[in-house]
Amino acid sequence: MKRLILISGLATALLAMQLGTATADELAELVEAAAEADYSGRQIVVTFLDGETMLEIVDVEHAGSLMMVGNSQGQALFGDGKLSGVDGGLTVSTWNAAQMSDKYSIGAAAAIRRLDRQATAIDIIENGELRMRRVFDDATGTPLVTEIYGGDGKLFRLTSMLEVNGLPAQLYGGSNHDAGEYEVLLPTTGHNLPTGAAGYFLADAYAAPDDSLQGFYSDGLFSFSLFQIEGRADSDRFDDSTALEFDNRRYERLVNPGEMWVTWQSTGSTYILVGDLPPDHLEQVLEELPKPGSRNLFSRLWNGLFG
Amino acid sequence: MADVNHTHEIDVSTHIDADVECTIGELLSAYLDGELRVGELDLVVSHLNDCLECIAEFHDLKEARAAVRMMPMLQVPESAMPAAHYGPELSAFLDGELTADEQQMIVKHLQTCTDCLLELQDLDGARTAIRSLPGLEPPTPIAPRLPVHHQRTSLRRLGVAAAAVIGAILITFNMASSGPEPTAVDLDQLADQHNVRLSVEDGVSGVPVNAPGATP
Repeated sequence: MKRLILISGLATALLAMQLGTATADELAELVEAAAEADYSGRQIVVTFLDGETMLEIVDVEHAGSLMMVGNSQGQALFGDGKLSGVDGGLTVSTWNAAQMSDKYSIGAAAAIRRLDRQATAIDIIENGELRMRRVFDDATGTPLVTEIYGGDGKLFRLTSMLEVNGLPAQLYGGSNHDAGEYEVLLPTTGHNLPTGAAGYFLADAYAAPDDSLQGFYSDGLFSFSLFQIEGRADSDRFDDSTALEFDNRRYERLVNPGEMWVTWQSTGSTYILVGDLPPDHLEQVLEELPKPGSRNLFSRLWNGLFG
Repeated sequence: MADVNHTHEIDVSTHIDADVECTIGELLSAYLDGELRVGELDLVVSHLNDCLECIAEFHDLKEARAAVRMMPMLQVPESAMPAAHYGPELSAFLDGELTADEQQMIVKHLQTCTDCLLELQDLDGARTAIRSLPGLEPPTPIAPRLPVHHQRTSLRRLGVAAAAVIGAILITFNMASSGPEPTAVDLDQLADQHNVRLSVEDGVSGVPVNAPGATP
């Protein structure tokens, strides 16, 4: 009997090895290698949402912890809590590290070829369904592909290198990450932002230079910032937004290939959510954030009369 | 699908400049098939700015094309697909009209085909330009004159007056309760603030992908 158990255990282990089940450590190693990889190339970002397809193609350079992203409209340098534009930028001085939520598990890892390179594909699973697939170049650690799936199992966003050109010439050329003036996002504790929503936790809260509040939320895989602005706030760009309605709650949503803004008003404040959440995560998060006010005719009359 | 050779024989500039008889249909069809060249795209978009008839024709063509796409199709294995370019499919790809398998096939193809990639960028640019064109709503027709009723009762006058007073009160309260003008928000600035914090995270998916100033 013991022999049978031993053989069956060995068979299971061999099967697991053959299927290539990865561990969280293996994913962490790949992500860490990608964060330190040196590469340049062109990247396509495609978002599929509500029957629409939005795409952008950008030039990217990555060296150490810095990433330069450019398109026809300009360039920006990100990394180490700094964003540098032409003459200055933004910076955060302190932050709390986010941990990957235990709702995610690491699925099968597979050896594949991508862009004529030997690569490793690794799946991240949520509730038994594929949520994300990442592909890393074995030789350089370059992240070649990130596929994000919605709760319906359909591809929601694809980020894929179209070509990898080797060393990052501009970053190696000494692009200046310190020149100019920087606005500093200062950490704050004096806020009433929610401490979490649908598995996302408030990692940091900042007071922006314009006195608005920013809460940065993450579940270790996706993230969003919730901005709270006193009174009414708006942008002309929301003229092109689409309405998003859940249970009689109405929001305005604006999407581009890599980002999304959702706005609503609640209890005297305007909220704007910015991030990369898959649609089903967005719905769950909005359910647990301050809800849009009803502001019916009677309440408007009352407020108009008595403030 | 439009005949490529035929389309390219059209003297676009003459066609646009003539402006006597608006017959841009071939070019619109070629646009939908992803067969226009960059210069032609610019001219078509420029022309569509001023021609409501062509905008209407463009939308009709697009709808017809979408209807054809919805018809049942045979499943063709990838190996049996042509190795050539995906002109018409690229447009459908942008319109979100492809199946998941077809989407994956296009994405895979884009990673090896610079021509299709450039074409996709052109199409996307043209789509953005066309989205910003004026709407297709026909001019509001002049409302037919209502027959004049000479016999107005004092009760009706009273009702009209009461409605006017109530309306004025509602408008006043609405204006009072709506408060001052909203504060203008720079959405790119908010995205930058998010991305700068995001830039310290190694594991999260949202590596910044958009250069500053990118608009949806």
